[in-house]
Amino acid sequence: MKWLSLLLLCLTVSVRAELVFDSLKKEVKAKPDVSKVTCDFYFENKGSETVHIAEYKATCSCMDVQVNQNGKLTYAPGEKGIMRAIFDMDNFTGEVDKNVMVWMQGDAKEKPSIVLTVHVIIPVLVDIQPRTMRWSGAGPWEAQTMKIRMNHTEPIQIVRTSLNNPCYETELKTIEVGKEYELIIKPLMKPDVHPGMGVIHIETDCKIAKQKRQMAFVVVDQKTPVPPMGGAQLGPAPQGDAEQVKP
Amino acid sequence: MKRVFSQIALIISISLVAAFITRAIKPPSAPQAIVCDQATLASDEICLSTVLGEWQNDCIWVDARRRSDWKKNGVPGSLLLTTADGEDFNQLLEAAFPTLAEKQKRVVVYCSDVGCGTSREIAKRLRDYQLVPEVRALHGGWMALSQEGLVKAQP
Repeated sequence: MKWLSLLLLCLTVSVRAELVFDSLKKEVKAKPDVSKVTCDFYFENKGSETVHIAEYKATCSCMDVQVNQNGKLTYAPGEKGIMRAIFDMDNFTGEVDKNVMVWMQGDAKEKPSIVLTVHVIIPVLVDIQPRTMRWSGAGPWEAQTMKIRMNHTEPIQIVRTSLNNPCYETELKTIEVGKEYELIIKPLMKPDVHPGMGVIHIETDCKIAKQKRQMAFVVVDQKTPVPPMGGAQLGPAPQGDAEQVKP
Repeated sequence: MKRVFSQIALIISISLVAAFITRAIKPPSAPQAIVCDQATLASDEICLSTVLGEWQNDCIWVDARRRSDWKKNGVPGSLLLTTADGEDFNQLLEAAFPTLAEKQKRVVVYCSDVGCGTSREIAKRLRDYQLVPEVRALHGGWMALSQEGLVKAQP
């Protein structure tokens, strides 16, 4: 019986300590004009042993992670703490998931034991539907309408639209000033010239810089050479050439 | 007294045996294989086995990692589309547009590993543009590609 007790004692010592978070995924609704949002994850050591956070980091350079009490990493049983994720939204709109990885002592590098997710909702102020217009066949082609709606408390007006391919005709219609517009696009029939594809740039007077300029695409499907439009950034050559290959 | 020492010796022996067994079964910090379970896979993700099998690797690869990582060991022929390091996604997409629009192939986006999340975000942005027939994020990311020997190993 004594031996059995000793064996159980050995096994008990190997039971892993536990850091428990209040939630592994949190949602943050951001205002369109703020550049940073914060999200706090509360945790507690609910195990019977002291735990040590070996490493923590966000998976995006757009996110900074801080731990309370000047980055305290060791927590005794019952001790609580806060992990704060600070998300820089300058480059984002719409719904975005960003992760924070937390490695406890003993975790493999490839597998942190805790992954926290911040789901950020950033209002889309200029909504364009559809973002790509497509035609097929040899033509003539019907005109199609792109709907542009402003989802903001104050009006947003379209200042300029441009299409980088002269084989398309465009007409901007104002449905309601500062609220709703329509862009009517039609590929043109030209002798011996296929319309190919094009990029539409839409510039607004939106005060939030990242939502001021919008982009959409037009394509008439046909196997024709790609027109010069900046060139795709193709991946590195198998031999390790670090230069970008231009088509 | 002798009995106490023998019990201590026994505890140490059992612990040592357990430690050796643990090390043999699962060495510490050993690289873990990326496992892709179709049953638990998110609807916007895809397993590498599906890309190579069912899709016959007939897709456009999009690298959502940092530019420096893409240059160092990205999939040959892949496109860079990312928001990492403040990259302008729209500018990158405009440059990638002719390739995406002309080839009209399915797109697979990868980032560094299982938890990075950027690939799913980039895949969603691409879906919003409705440029290509299908866009999925690769489960396991670059780690899964490396495991299959499809990219250069990390230096």
